[in-house]
Amino acid sequence: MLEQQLVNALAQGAFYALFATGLTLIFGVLDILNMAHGAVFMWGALLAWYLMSSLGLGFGWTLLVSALFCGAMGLLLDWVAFRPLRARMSGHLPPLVSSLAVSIILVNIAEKLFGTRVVRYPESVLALNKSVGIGDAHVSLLHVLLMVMALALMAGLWYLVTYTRLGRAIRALQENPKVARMMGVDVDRTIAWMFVIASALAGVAGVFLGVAYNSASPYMGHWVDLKGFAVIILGGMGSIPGALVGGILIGFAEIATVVFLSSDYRDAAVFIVLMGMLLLRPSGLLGSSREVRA
Amino acid sequence: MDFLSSYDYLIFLVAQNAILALSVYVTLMAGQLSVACMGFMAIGAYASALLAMNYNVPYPLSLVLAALLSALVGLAVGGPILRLKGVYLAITTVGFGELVRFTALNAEFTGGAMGLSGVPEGTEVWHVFLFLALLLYGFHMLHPSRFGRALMAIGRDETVAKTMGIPTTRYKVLAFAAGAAMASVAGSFAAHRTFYISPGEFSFATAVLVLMFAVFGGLRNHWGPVLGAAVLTVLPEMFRFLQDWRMVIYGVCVLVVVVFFPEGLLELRRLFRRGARRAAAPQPAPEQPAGRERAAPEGRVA
Repeated sequence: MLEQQLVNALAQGAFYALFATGLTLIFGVLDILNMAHGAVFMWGALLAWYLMSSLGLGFGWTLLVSALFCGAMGLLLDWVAFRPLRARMSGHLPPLVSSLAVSIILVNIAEKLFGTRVVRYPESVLALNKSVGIGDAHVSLLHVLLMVMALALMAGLWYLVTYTRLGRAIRALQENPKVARMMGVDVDRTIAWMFVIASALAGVAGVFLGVAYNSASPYMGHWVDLKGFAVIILGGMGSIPGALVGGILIGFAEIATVVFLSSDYRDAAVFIVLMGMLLLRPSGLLGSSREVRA
Repeated sequence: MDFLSSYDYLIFLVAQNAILALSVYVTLMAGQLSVACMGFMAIGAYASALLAMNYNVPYPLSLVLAALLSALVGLAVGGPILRLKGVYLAITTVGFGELVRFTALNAEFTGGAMGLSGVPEGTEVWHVFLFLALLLYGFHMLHPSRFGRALMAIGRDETVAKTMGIPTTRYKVLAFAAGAAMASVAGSFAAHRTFYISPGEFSFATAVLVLMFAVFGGLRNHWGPVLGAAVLTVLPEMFRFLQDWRMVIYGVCVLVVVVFFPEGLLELRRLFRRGARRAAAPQPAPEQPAGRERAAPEGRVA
């Protein structure tokens, strides 16, 4: 029984980590809370449903197409909601509201296109959910795929930020946007790439969550947004390993509440853990204290 | 009269949302981004409804008691929470709101997910507008006062404010508690207006909408949040003819205004007096209380 919950917690945690990585990338570098992240995530899930049920695409192709589509959506998001405000040097609140407006637009277009009801994925894909017993625990192919995918994507992103030219640009931007520009970093292009990457990750997370729970609806982004914020705060803003740790921690906190208390308190657990931690260590588990003071 | 009766609820909503937007604004004045308003609105709605239903407390008194309770909770929670800054604070206040909602959802005395029905009738539309007018008068008096100037100093630069001898923590907590009381009154109004409350009404999504009202209208003075709440509450009704697409167009409108006027809708009036801007001291706009604009010329919040 306990082994089973361990697997569930890890899978849930991997999903949260995947979703929150994009948020933490944007927030850590630009100091912006992207309120449209959950909406992009929702589009990933619903587009995957459409591709699989209406066009009969396989899971792999669906994942690829959804990720690309959400990446393009991220580019668009940057163009309409963030880039114009960057030029105006507005504070932190206008980008928050403009991304919220984009989120409203995306949710309502999804309502119009996919309907307001909860959709179910086709049988052929749900085969991925079939579980194999290992000891006392049942592990499904989807769980394994999700964990491997989350680890691989986050490792890839970490490599990108640490070793590549784009990554150097991103880190320079985080340090000081003005100086980065003077050093020849194409700020707008770097930021656009960040939104593409973040949104593609959200899309991948959406496909996995949709298939794992066998449900997707235009409103699924709201609660995930909340959890994502909790994860990036727990892990420390802008830290990719922090997002992984935070995601898994929240996965465990949720499953532990379900097992030891009751499923009614599942969502409250996240915030109790979060508030407790913030009061003890206001900069997050793996965050630096510099970011808090600045 | 026909107009009034068919749009009765909309008019009520405008005032209620304006009060909520002001409750967010009062903490934003001190540069603190708090989205706890829905939590306090829930406390106000439930406390006032339960007092009236279980203890037969008459309506205005139940509202006042609920507001006092919310202010006390605000004082108690504000102390530890306001040590956090920026987004950390914002997300913790989100957490607070969600915890209140979960409590309402899971506790026995709040009726759980079914909520409370049969809340005694009480709120008239003019009550809400009277309270809104009182609030606006309060803000008008607040701006040139010691408290108001201290809040704005904290909003511009907390470290500097502290250096100047302003007890920043005390003022921030007071502003937080004041916002809590306002949101609570809005909650009581809603409970005694619709006779029914459920936890679903006080969600995170609604709290963010209230923040959107405030930013959309503008944060330079207290008319901004009121304007934002009024416009964004009425807009969906005006877009009824667009049917399914109306919320999409609504989103586009918000996006366009925020992108082109990041300082809010109130700044539209600047278009009409571009020439006057170069003057040594900016002239306060006619609809605006005197002396406010000089206090925060290019001040941005949070």
